[in-house]
Amino acid sequence: MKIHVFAALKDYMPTEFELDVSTAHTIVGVQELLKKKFPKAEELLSACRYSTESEILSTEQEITNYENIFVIPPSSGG
Amino acid sequence: MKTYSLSRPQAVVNDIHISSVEISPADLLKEYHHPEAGAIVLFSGEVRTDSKKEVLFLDYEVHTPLAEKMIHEILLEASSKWNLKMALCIHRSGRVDVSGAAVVVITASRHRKEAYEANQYIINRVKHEAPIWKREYFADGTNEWGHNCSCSTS
Repeated sequence: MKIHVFAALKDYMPTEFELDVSTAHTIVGVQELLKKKFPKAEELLSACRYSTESEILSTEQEITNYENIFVIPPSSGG
Repeated sequence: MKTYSLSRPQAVVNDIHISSVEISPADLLKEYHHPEAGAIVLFSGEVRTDSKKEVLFLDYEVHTPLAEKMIHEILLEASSKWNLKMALCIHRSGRVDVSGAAVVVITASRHRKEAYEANQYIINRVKHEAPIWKREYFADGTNEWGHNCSCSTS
């Protein structure tokens, strides 16, 4: 699965990268894998939402069919 | 000036909500009128220099397809809730200099109360929910990501 990240997350990890999610079944599982891989970003990752190209995903959402997941830190628009 | 069918039951909502080029609030206001609207409210969110340090400009990053969809849904919801005749929101991506418009919201309704309330509702939700982030560039040569809003992460 390809992970895409934005804004402050880019201080801790590449803008996009491949992640082996074979041990994760839900978005929460992906979040845990990311926290293990990037422990310095743990707090920020806990505050993030997750989405496809155009839809926010529930943290309980199963991830089997997704090629791309976008990790969305808290917004600071306006 | 645009013309609209008076029999059109739904509000007129703009289609493109993220712009990589300069937004002109004055040009938008010139264009957005509706024959059944007695009140037009325009909010322009502009870059100001006095953050914790002097700001030179902001750079906005956007998850564009998701932001487009979320902002459109917010406009439709507000239009229905306040019976708006028109609703528009455009947010910038990329660099915006001091006094430049970062986001514009226009609401039009029969009377001013609805247009004011809906406008505030739209900008609050866009700021808190749309996947948009600003990076502040300061006069001392440093830069950092803007402070996050206190929005829910659920």
